[in-house]
Amino acid sequence: MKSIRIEWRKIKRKHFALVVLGTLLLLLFWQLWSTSRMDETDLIQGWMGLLYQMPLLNCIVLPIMTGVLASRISDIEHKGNTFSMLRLLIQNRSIYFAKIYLGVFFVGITTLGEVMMMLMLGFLRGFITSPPWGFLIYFFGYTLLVSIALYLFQLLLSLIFKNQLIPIGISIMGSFIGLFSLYMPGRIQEFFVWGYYGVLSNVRMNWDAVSRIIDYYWTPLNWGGIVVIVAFSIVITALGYRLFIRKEY
Amino acid sequence: MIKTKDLTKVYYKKTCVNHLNMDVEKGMIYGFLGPNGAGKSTSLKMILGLAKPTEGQVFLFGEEITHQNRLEKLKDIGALIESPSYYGHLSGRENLEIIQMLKECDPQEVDRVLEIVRLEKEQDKKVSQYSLGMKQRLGLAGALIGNPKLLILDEPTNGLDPAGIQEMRELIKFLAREFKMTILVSSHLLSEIDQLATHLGIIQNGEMIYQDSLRNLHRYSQQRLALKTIDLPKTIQILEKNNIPFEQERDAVLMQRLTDEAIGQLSCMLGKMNIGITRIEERQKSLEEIFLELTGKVVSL
Repeated sequence: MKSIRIEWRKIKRKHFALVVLGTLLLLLFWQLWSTSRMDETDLIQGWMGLLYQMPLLNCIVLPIMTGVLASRISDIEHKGNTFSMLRLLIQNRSIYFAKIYLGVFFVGITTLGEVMMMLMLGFLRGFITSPPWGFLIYFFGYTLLVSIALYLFQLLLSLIFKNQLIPIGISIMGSFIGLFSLYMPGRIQEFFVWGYYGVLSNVRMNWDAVSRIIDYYWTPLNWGGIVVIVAFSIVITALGYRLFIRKEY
Repeated sequence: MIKTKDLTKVYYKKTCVNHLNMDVEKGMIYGFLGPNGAGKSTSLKMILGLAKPTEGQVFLFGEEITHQNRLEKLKDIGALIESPSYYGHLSGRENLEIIQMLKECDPQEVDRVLEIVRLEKEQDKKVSQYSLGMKQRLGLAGALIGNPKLLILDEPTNGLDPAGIQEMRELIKFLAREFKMTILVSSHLLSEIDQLATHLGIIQNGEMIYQDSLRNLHRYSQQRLALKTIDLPKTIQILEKNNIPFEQERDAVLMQRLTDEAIGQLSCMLGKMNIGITRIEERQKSLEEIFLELTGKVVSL
């Protein structure tokens, strides 16, 4: 608890709330634009449309957002050469887990914000059906899990590299890979962690090229994918723990 | 207070510290002297547990340091390692509050240490706006939180301007005097250690080549007598005949300090042999020369 309290103190004036708010505003404007012209068919499928589009946007935005979070959380230590000082006063694992906690908190707030935003959009646009609560909870759950996995990965990179351009560059690359992986065949998609927002989504789309009609449909929940992403998080945490704990200064 | 036994560190097959046996007793200001790259920082990092020794042991306050008791023992130690550690976006006070929280000590400690390092007026300024000297003083303030018995300072004057160096030096002396702290301070500057330390250890290529009181080191620099005459070979013969130990230097002979009576007798003997004395002078080895003899390297001043 002490290390978490201290972690909060350290990020004072680092405007983490702006990172979360900026991400949510970007997503909100995007969704406001994409739902601006909806006919009756669209309104019937409104929730499906949102649950289909939001993971696609997340593939673009959240890898970068988690990269920025991890980088800012680590950079305050690199910049001031504070890791050696901290190691004299506190266990390395406490520092590591406090940084994980902080990232998970901001990622959690962002994910919750997304769900709230979707509900707000649904009511604002007047979706005809009632909110699919179960699927919204599923969306919250898998989005959070993928974001945590990406944050853990980025945290590992940001702790290893002093120059934060490297992890940030990787997060931008991840954003592209994540998006484009969704256009690849199903099995191949599963190899790219950045694309898991889409892989775990339970909405798919049929697009009729002749009639130019979009038709959404539900798919079974992807529990296998959830296991993969949780396993990935565990492996990355263990790897980060090992590398960070053993690091010499 | 600090004892190391055969402390060794090998990095990628290169031995940076080689069987170092350091002994820092209570009340000392121990100057840890050595040229850049001699292994000072690595040794201090091993003492503090920031680097894992390849071989050897570290004892702090009489107890061997292990992974389990490391943090417990370090509670009684304040340390300033290499460049100062700070959060630039926070004020000096906020930085110290973080350390105070980590050390779990009285919040009033922050005011106490700010006063010691004379940063009260700048405490609310962001540390990124501090000068290097102020950052270094802030680092020292952080090390002083909790009133530790032992201070370990790695090159605390590195990069400071002359005024900053003087200020830091006075501060270190003040801490030893007023708070009876034992201080281990490393430097590559002999003059600095000479002005600060009571004891010193000299490290060269990872090996401790000298460890004793500064007073004893000064004894190395004992005065000698240089004698120049118009006939050096005959002078040498006379010295040998009278069993007066000497060393020959290009155009002079160097002798241990002699009594006035012995010098008188010697000059009479030389006079009788018609050997004119051109110069008798007292010579003293500087600390730089001793350091050079010990390390084989020219010391930076």
